[in-house]
This record gives sequence, structure tokens and C-alpha cells, in this order.
Amino acid sequence: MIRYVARRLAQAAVVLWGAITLSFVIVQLTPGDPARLIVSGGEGADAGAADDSQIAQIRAEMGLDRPVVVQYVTYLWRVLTLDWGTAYSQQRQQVADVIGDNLGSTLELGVTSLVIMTVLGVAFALGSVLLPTRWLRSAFQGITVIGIAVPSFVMAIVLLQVFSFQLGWFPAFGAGDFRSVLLPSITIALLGAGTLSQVFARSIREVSAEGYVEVAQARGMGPAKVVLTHVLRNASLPVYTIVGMLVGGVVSGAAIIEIIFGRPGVGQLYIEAVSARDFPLIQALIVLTGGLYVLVTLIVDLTYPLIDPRVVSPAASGRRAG
Amino acid sequence: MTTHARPRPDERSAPAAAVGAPGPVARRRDPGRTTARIRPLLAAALRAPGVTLSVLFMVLMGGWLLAPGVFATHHPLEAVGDSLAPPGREFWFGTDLNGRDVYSRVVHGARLSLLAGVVAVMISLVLGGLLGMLAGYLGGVVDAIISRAVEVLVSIPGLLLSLAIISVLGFGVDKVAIAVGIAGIPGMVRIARAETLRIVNLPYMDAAATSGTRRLTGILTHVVPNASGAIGVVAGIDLGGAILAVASLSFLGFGAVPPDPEWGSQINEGRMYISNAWWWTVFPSVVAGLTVLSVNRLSRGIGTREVR
Repeated sequence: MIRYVARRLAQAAVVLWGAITLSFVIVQLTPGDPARLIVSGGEGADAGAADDSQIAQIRAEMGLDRPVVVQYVTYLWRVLTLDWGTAYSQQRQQVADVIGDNLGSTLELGVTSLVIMTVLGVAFALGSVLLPTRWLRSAFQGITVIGIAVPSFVMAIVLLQVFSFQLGWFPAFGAGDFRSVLLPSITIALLGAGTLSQVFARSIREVSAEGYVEVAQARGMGPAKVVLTHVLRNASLPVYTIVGMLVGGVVSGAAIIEIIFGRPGVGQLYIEAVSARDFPLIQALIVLTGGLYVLVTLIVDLTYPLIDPRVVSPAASGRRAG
Repeated sequence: MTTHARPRPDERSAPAAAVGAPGPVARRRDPGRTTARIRPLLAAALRAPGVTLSVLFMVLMGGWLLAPGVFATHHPLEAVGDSLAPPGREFWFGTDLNGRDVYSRVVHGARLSLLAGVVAVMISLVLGGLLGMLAGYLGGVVDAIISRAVEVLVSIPGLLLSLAIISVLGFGVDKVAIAVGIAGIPGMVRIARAETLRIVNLPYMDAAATSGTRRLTGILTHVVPNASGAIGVVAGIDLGGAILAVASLSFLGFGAVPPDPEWGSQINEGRMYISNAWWWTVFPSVVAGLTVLSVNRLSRGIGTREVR
């Protein structure tokens, strides 16, 4: 067990270091001068008009005038001390301050989405397995496809139109009371719930075919009781392994949803940063999302043995963790 | 039954020419045998209406992509009617603020939207497939490096990774396609690596190794053909996601430049007018959604057949 934890922690550290390095490499790979792109605000059309002294100043601030190795070491140090530099697209505020101001709103959105997503995903999975008629079951299964095929922005536009403008149940824009977070959360949740429920339903069917479930059925348990008491725990394992992916989906979704709903947040910040080619802000947000994913998958992997002890048992040690 | 099945004389030669190669060989073929071959196909088509509709829709999309001029009713860039005219006989999908025909713009938009998706998948297929096979076949240090790099790329959600790449490359549909393609590489590496590992452990690979096949030759002659089925299915499923990703990035304004028709940017242009001109946003959305559904349905259909 200790070896498993140690190996998993080391792996997480390597991935995090990789994400930090990636965010560094991205700026290095940028064709042309990143400082010039920052000054001209993205589109290279008026890049010639950019003020040279301004460019030189940004270059010095970002350390772009120094050798690459020095830049890399300084960058690693600055990441560790959370000193991200200046967010040029946000009135030259400190990157850490800008992210701090926006993080709460996105966390609220993300957590609400995950809760709704879990409830919907589980409900649809159970529905597509337990409902009495074949017709109802396939209807429940078919509906989940919508979550996978409909683009997030289309879902957002439709829900916004129907529930905010036509029915007036939710405020259309901005962030304020809890009601304003519901509609964007539902939008993000619907997108992930499709995947979640398909994975869960497939897993329920697979586990239901196992011997011990048949024994329970033979003992005279009804189908609903068998699924609830015998199948669900083992069937939830595959779902647990895609939590990292679902959280990633929520972060991606938040970027687009925040733009459409006009909600302040880290996602909208990221889009703005890319439009303005504000590299320090982009770097910080890449490391932040990478770090979030590493943290979530680490928690999942470390708690996984508590749910399924087979993972670290000697019999299954040949299987790769993670 | 038999009287229904037998083709009428005037139809007799048409299916034969359509199925077989033209020329004396095709003509000599017994027309009864041709219908015998078409009938199970028709029966299968009716038994799987989802697949049939997907095929028909993709054929239509192919037509829009290859010959938009044939399908479009108006010029895609010029004002041809009143501003925000509702759908009707003249403008099937209505018109936008500038009086341009939405239907014609959706038809012409298929080219950018679909091609960008296809290019993206080709990039992830070729690069990801190659890296995955190398990792699985060579193992050791190569495998360790590639697998760690994949883990790093996976840690950043696809859309955000694409956006980061766009911030490096700059804006435009071509760059969006490259960015989506690169973001799709890690997933493809994983599939190709897993498939390769499965194949490498099969007895015929031992046989090849004992008979002196070299490593690179081994990849080309044994791994590539045998892994391509599973990898192709994943590429098909990825295509739906890639089309969505391209549309999303264009929707955010990083793709097509405004006058050019493209589904994502069209949806974005129309969304502020959805209360008084729903057609401007809804029709491109529906077409994009149906495309993704069809692509997914077909690749899953092929996938289940491969597994069986």
C-alpha cells in the first residue's frame, strides 16, 4: 500500500512538472516575438505600429531577453512561489490577483455542475437498466446521446432562450444569487451526464452478468433490489475512473458557458487571454487546470483501493495503476 | 413475392451497371443475381434505420462539401433578400441580418467545418498512431517518454489545450484544425499503444521475430495492418468530436474570418438575434448536431461489426 501511494505521488509530481514545462514551451514555440504579440493584442495586423520601448519593457518583465535555460529555471521558481507576473490583457494587474478574483465564481459553477451531473447521470443509467418496458429503457438510453452530440454552445443558447427569455425562470446574464448559477450548471451537467450515464449503464449490465448476481437472483431477489444492493457498488468503479475526465469536461465547458452566460470566471478569463495572446495569464491557467486534473486523479487513485481492495492486492499487482 | 422481386424489363440493366464495372462483364451478369445481392442490403437498411439515415445524411454532407454550388440556392456572401426574413419558399432557412441566405451559407459552410474536422483527425491519426505504435512496439525508454508525455497532455482538457496551441499559432480555420488535431494526439497514442501491445503478444509476432523480421519491418508488416481496424474506429468517433471542437473554437471567434461561411461562427453571429430570428442560429446548429450524430452512429456501427 505504501509503495502504491509513493509511486502514485511520484507520478503526479512528474505530470505536474510536465504541465509546467509545457506551459513554458508554448511561449518559446510562438513564432515571432511574444512580447510584440502581447502589445499588439493578438492580431498581428497592427503589430508594426507597436511601441518598441513598450515591447522591450515587456520582454524584460517576462525575462524573454535572457538565455532559455535561465528563463526555464526562473520560470520554475516563479511557479513554485506563485509569482506569475503581469496579466497584460487585464489592465496590467497581477496574474495571481486576477485569477483569485475569478476563481470563486468558476468553482461555484463547477461544483454545482458536478453535483447535477452525477444526479442526472446516475438517474439515467438506472432508468435505462431498471425501467419495466424495453421502450422506456431505450428512450432513456437514447436521450443520453444528446448530451454527447449537441455542442455545448448550442445547448447553452437553447436553454438560455427557453428558460430565461421565454419562461423567465432564470436570470439570463451575470452572476449573483444562487439562481443565476443554476442554468449554466445544468448546461454543463447535461453534457457530461450523457457520458457518465452510458459508462455507468454499460458497467451495470456487465456486473449484472456475474455469477454472484445470478446467485442473488436465484435466491429470489427482485431485479431492482439486486441492482441496488449487489450490483451498484462494483458497477460504480468504472465511473470512478472517469471522474478526472468529467472534471476536465466541466472546465472546458465552463470556458464556453461563461462566455455565453456573461458570467465572470476563470474560463472566460482564459478565452480573453487567448484572444489577447496574454501569455503570462495563459501559462498560469494551463498550470492551474493541469494541477486540478493531477489533484483529482490523485485523489481518485488513492481512494480507489478503499472501494475496490483488489487494485493493490498481490493477485492484481501486474495491472498498472492509474 | 417472386413477382415483386423480379425487376421489370426497363429496370433490368440499370442496377447491374450501377453495381458492377461497366462493360461486357457487367452486362453478362444475371440481373436476378444482382437483385439478390441488393435485397439483403435493403432489408439490412430497413432493419437499422439509424445507420441508413446516417449514411444518407453523410452522403448529403459529402455533396455539400464537394459541390456546394449545386446544392446552394443563393450566393453565400451576397445580400439576396430582406434582413432577417423568416424561412419560406424562397429562403429555406431564412436570411440573416445582412439579408444573406442562411441555407446557402450552411451549405457552403460544410466545406470549412467538415474539412477542418477531417484534417484534425488525420493529424491525430497519423502522429498519434505512429507514436503509439512506436511506444508499444519498442517499449523501454521510448515507451516511458511517450507515455509520460501523453499523461501530461491528457491533464489539460482538450478544448483548453487547443486554445493554448491557437495562442501560439495564431487565429484561422487552418490553425484551429491543427490545434484540434494536436489535442487529439494523446487519445490516439493510447489506443494505438494498447492495440500494439495486444498484437505484439500474439504468437505470429513471435514467429515473425524468430524468422528474423527486423523491428521496423515488424511494425510495418504486422502491427500497422492489424491495429488499423481498431484505430480507424476510434478515428471515426474522434471525427465527431473534432467537428464539434472546430465549431466550438470558431464559435469563440478563433476560426473562420466573419464573411466566410462556417457553422460555428454562423451560430455565434446569430445567437444575439435568437429571440426575433431563431432560424439564423438554429439551422446551422441542427446541421452540425446531426453531422456529429451521424458520424458517431456510423463509427459505432463499424466498431461493433469489428468486435464481432
